[in-house]
Amino acid sequence: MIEGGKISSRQLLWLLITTILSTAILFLPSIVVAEAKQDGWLSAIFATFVGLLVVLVVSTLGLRFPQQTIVEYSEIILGRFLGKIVGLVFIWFFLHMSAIVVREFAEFMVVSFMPKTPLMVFILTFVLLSAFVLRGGIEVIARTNEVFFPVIFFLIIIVTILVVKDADFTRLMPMLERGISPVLKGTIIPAGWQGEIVVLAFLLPYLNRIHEGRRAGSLALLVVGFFLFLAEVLTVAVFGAEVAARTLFPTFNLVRYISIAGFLEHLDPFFMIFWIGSVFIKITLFYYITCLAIAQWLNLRDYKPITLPVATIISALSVLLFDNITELVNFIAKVWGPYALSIQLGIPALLLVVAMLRRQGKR
Amino acid sequence: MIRKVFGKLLSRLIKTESSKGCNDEPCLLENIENLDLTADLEANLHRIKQILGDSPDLVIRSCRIGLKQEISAAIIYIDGLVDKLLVNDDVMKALMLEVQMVESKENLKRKHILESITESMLPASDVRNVKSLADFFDSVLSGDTAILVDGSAVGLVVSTRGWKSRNVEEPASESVVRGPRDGFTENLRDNTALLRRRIKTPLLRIEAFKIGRLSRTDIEIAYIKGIADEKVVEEVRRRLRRIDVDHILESAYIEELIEDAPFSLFSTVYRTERPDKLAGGIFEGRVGILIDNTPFALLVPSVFAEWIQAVEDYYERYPMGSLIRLLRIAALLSALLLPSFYVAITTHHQEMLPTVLLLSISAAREGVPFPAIVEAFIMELSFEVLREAGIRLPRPIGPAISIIGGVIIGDAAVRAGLVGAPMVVVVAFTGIASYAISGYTASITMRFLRFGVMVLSTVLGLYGVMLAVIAIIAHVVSLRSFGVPYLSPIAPFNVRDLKDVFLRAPWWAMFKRPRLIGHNEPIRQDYFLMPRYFADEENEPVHERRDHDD
Amino acid sequence: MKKRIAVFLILVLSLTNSGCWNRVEIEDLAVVLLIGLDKAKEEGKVRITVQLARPEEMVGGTAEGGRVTKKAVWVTASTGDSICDAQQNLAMHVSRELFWAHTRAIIIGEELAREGIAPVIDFVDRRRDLRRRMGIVVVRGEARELLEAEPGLEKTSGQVYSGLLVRLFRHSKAAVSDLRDIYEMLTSRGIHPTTSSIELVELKDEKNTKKQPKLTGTAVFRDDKLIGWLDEAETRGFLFLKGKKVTGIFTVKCPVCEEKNVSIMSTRSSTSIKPQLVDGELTLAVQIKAEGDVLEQMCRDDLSRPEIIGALNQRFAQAIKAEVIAALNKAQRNYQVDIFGFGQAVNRKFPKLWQKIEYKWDEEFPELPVKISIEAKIRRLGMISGPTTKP
Repeated sequence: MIEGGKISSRQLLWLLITTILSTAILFLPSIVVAEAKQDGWLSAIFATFVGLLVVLVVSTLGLRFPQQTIVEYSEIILGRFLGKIVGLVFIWFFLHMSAIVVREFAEFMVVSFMPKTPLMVFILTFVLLSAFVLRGGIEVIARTNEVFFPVIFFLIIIVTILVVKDADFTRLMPMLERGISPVLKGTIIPAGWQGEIVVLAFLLPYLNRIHEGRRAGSLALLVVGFFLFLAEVLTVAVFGAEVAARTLFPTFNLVRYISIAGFLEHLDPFFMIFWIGSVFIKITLFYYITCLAIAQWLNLRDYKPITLPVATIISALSVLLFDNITELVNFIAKVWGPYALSIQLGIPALLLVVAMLRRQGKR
Repeated sequence: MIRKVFGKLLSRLIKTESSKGCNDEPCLLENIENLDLTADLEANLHRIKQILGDSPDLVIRSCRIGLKQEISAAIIYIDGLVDKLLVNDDVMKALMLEVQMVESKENLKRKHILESITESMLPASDVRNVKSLADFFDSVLSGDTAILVDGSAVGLVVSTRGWKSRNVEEPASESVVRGPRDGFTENLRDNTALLRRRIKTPLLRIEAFKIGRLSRTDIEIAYIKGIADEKVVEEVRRRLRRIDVDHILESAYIEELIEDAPFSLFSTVYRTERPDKLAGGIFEGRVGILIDNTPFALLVPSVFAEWIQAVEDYYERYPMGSLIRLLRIAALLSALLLPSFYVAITTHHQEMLPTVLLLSISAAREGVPFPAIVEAFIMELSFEVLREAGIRLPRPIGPAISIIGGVIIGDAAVRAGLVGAPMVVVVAFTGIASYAISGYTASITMRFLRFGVMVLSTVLGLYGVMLAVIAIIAHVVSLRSFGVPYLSPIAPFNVRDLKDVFLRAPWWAMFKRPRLIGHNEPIRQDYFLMPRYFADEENEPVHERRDHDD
Repeated sequence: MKKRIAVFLILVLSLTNSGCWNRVEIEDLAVVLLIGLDKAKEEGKVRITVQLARPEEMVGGTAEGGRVTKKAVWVTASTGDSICDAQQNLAMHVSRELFWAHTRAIIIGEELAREGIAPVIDFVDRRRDLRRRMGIVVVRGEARELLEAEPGLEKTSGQVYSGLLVRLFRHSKAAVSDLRDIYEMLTSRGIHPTTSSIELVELKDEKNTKKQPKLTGTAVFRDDKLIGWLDEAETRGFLFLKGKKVTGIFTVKCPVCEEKNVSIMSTRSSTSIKPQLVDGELTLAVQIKAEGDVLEQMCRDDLSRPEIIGALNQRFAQAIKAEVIAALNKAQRNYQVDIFGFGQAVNRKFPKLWQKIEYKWDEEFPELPVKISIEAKIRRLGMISGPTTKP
């Protein structure tokens, strides 16, 4: 096996929560609220169900082929040629996703944190640090996350408490003003995020008790769903649907809005550095999975030699993918949902159906 | 590779010319491992003298024993390493007087002379036989007295170790307000005694090693059988056995030769000069390593949490222990990050400061010629130099220097407009905070890392600080100490063990040993030890009885 | 190993060579305390006035012997084609880096406000260093004048503003909207923005007249354009109708002697706004509940009798009602804008109906029947229970 480490189901749970939540909580509310207005929280809940579907499919596949990742067992299920194509799709998907996340992160830093610093600085420093960390393998990523996760969790709760006094929950009314269709439309994008749980397809083999994977995945989705729900509710309740939809990072603005006793204000840089920690985990995990998938696809013995080449590709891709932030936001709002879901849910579902028909793997 | 080179060097040192008879010094030295004592006393003594090079502290006392004084013997010891009283009373008197008396009753036969002496004549408690010259020297050079008898190829070694050594004193580097005041000394045997005094279970195992080609340093490992993980113990033995250096002067030698991460700034071996600390570790299932000639003992596996655990946490009542520990965590974080935070916030994120504070820092810095980072470096470096000077200086001058440095230079620097007053406050606090961490080495690590973080903080602000923190954390979580993840129980996360990390749980709640260290025998004590009153008739609690009396 | 060295070198070079992009030393900052925006004399131009802190003078106590003490703030202004342009022109003569994050409030001049404040909101919310917590107030007159005022107690009018803002609950005669509120009111249907107005009052002492800022009344907007003001009493009525908590003193005639005044401090209030459909016609039922304490009595009568308290309760309610009706009339008759958010209330209650009237709400609002019922109760009489004279 390329990766010798094992992680516990708690580590997996925390890792999944950080991975999905980190960018979702920052980018989603505005996009969802733009579609679903004050019913954005419903979209968050619906998206969680889509995510649960992905968990179901992926974990069933994983249990049928323990010890193997989706890149490996797709070859068994579909045969060598088609399997390799599926593997390639996943490699591209994770490469793409890593690049998008890196770009999202860097854009955010430039827009709201350090406008005079070049984008490339953030991209390079982050990706190189990722490269350093992922050499330790999945164990080190999981453990690093274990240090950040409680802090981030705690901070989210603190922010919630500090923000609630400025919230006016009547802003959430009326419910379903324009029927259910805007809500469903608003569901697709967060579903693409919740669908990131597809990383399970790569992590299950490294779980020390593989049967706990499904539970951990579902629980992670529920927690993320809850926090997204909270984010939607709070951004709308504090700013109103119209303003929230017009704001690029409404949750960031929530933090900026905090004022403790009129004295401690402007604490956003402090909260943001911990957000950086969580995005770092996300990028490192995606980057790690990209390397792992490539190594398995090429039947390499070790993924470490390809980390730096992949880092170069990710950095370059993240710069080249989008010209400006409008393109990025537009891509996330319009294209990302269907595109991601077809890979996160479509391909694994297809694999599962074929595997069941061919009676492959354990049951 | 290093070992090979070293071996060559050593053999070149020793090997000059080889001769057949092997009576010359170099040849003897080279073959010392293979040589045995001979039956010829004169030859033995000659060899010994030759090997030790007629050293002036070598004492060879020849005598004749037996009723007719026909057997020549020699008593050999190193002056200064032995207790002269013991040698006189237990060895000399026995050989020269009592042997005669005994022999009058039964004829002393040459063949059995040694057995007779050992069994019935020598009143000394610890007597052993030695056959090889190497063993002979190991014993004699450690302070034992050897008895060689003509005609016997086996020598007797009587333990008469006794040299000038420091008394058991309060450990200088780890003092406490409440708690035992004894510390390890340079004498290994005293140290094991201090340990035994605390761990009286017969399960305490102490195993001896002799390490160092030239120094032949005594090293002993101590652990409790059944609690310590046998794999860890075996790993310790393995790592100690492969050490092949010429000398060991301090525990740091061993530490560097057995640690898991030789390139890391973080030490994966804990050192202490407190017997109670070592005993506490051993009770948890760790392995202690005691080294002769140094009061510092090592404890493995070591985890990061030990940086914020001081023995006193366990001797104060738990609420105080816990609060002090929280304070220490704050100190640890400030020691690492405070100057960087200051630099990052005042040069990148000024909005985080309340307006009035912003203006007062700004006013204080008006006229300061250097950017904040240079200011920070100047102050931090001068503080480090002061600290170093304070340690190296003779005792009486040390504190004076600290006062001059801290107060005068700080104040003068502000008045001269070299640095702003807020920076002096930050640096002074950081300096003090770094001493609140448990363990001197740990605070050095923090101080080293601090400078790196400061550079990043000035270039990239808090983002830079976070990059550094991520890198540090990712490095720390990748470390292991004898198989135990260094940052456990934080990562891998374990709620049960957190009771002794951020807080110090009361003793009645410490049911189990740390999961990754004491998993052999996880149950430490019974549940339900929390003191409380029981309402049964027989054991009526004291205070209730008093109520009835009224 | 070579690779590692290379990576390390790249890192070091990239960090050191390109410099420190965002780094500004703290003493190189010109901390902006207040921003004033006015219409410039030239057509189509904006004037920005900023109040910059002088750190040493602001902190105070450091002025050593013989040194000429300067004023604590420096007020300077510049004009430009847009706010940003004006700000850039400002930077041309300010020797330090303008630092906006600590701005307490944006003061908008009356003339500029009449032209529209949307560009101001856009300018502010687009910036990363200005926050939505920041207050936006309209000055009756010129913003510049207000910034230059030398207040009595504090060093700067910015500090005065902060102090007044914190103590608004003493009288409830002004209500400052922060950026978030205004942004929301601007973008939502069924409500029009309002914020506090600020004015300079002249305080005369023996030598000179000092001008002191004072938060008073309310500026009323139609969409983003200022159309008028509410006075202090109307402002309290407006706050009741908006569902905000109103605390402050109401003066009523004593029910016994009918001459002298009794002061009642409203300590808490709540409002419920219920849109109703009566025979297919939209009406609004507003119920206000208030509680108060008697703070002062100028006559000699004993108030501590239940029937007197009952009568006082009624007068308390009437006093509130008078203010509420005044505010409602001003909004419905004079200005014809829904500043109370009644439209939002309708939206929440009757979303279907709202979709029909959403776009003509401005025409519907002046005709909207509003039923007001007030329940006011006096709870306490302070530390004494009777009058301070012989009966």
